[in-house]
Amino acid sequence: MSLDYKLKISIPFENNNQAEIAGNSLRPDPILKADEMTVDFSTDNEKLICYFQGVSDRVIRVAVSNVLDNIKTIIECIEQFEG
Amino acid sequence: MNSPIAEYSSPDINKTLTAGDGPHSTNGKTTQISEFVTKAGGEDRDKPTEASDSQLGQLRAKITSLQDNINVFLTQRMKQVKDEGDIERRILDDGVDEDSD
Repeated sequence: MSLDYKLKISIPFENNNQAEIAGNSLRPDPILKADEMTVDFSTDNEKLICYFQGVSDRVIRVAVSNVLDNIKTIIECIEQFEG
Repeated sequence: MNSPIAEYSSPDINKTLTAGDGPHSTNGKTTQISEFVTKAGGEDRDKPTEASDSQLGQLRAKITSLQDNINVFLTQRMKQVKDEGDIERRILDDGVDEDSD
């Protein structure tokens, strides 16, 4: 199956360390239906880049929403620890 | 701090999605529990905490707005695919009916 549906999300943190923490926290999560989609996390300075590729809008939507929920939890944690 | 941004691409379109102008809130429209549940007296026990005034707090609210916009956009795309499938099915079904007459 070709992964023709793509979504790249850029999340601007305060600094590179926070973006790295977020990426390292998200990366261990296993991808459900790995044959239907892939998710890659990288950083570009203070930005966390999440790159989704899937076989349909449906699989992208489910994965994106899960990852964004997790990112919001990570941000809350960073805020608590650094605040 | 800049705003989060999403770039979508598929075989038929490319689109950039943003968090919009705001105001932004952590209480997203597409991430709440079903209104049927709330109308029946249900309570959202996983309701997110309010965004603080800090940069990270505002980032969390902006991500919620972006998440709403992505969810609405992709849901519309899914509905469009379904509707096109329904039309195709109806045409094919009609064809079968005509042949069987």
